[in-house]
Amino acid sequence: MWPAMFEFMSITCSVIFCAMSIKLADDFLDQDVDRSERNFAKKIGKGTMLYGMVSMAIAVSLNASISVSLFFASYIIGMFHDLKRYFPSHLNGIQESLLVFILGVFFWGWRTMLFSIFFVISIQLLDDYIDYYTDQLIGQRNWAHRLGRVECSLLFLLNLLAAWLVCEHLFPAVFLGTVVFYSAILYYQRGRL
Amino acid sequence: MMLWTGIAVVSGLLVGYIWGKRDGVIYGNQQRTVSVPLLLRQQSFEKGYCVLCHEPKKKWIIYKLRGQYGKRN
Repeated sequence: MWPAMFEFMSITCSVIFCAMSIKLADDFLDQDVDRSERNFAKKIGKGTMLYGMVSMAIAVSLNASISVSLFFASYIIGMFHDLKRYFPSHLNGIQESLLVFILGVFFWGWRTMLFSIFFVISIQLLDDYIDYYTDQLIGQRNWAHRLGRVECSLLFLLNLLAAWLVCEHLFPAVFLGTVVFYSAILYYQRGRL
Repeated sequence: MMLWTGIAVVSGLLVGYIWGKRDGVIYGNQQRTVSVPLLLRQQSFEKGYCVLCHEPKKKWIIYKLRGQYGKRN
């Protein structure tokens, strides 16, 4: 009983720390566009990326497979807006995404990687659904604008169910960790992710 | 089995919604193509001048009225 509970809690905590590192990295990259007080990079300053790395290190220490695969999946999904752009690695977005996916499959297995991708897509779609009006105000087109709000919400549900189907034993702990983290962020930022 | 059912239901809802929306857009466009010229013409007749270009005023209306009945002169 105790090992099972410990594993569940370690996965949940790992997801919380991993989400924190992704959020800090995202805020750090978006600080030129998002100048609001709710951006963590504005409050923390230059140390944002360092705190993100420490958070990721804690997540990896707790559960390496789920935290790294979620991080890889976030990297791949983050590339979706710049698929044709060339990066300092001399690879474009598609090539980098494919490379990261292959690395993820090689290290953590296709099931974990597929689960992470479905899960992160669902979180991205939910995020875009919530940020529909905010992104409209700053002139940024997200998936809710491109696909429509109802389609976005239905795709969110579909991806969540697909993630659950791919890895039934991981889903509850990862879902709980995500709910805890996003509830805290929503409370802190009063409704804006 | 429950998950497969859920996925099937949500997929069905998604496909149905996209299909219905597409049909609605096509129908709306057809409706607009038919009704907008009629509405413009009706408003032009009521106001006595073309609501789009505002001129030529009476001559244009008379020309259009005659044109409707096949009289060009």
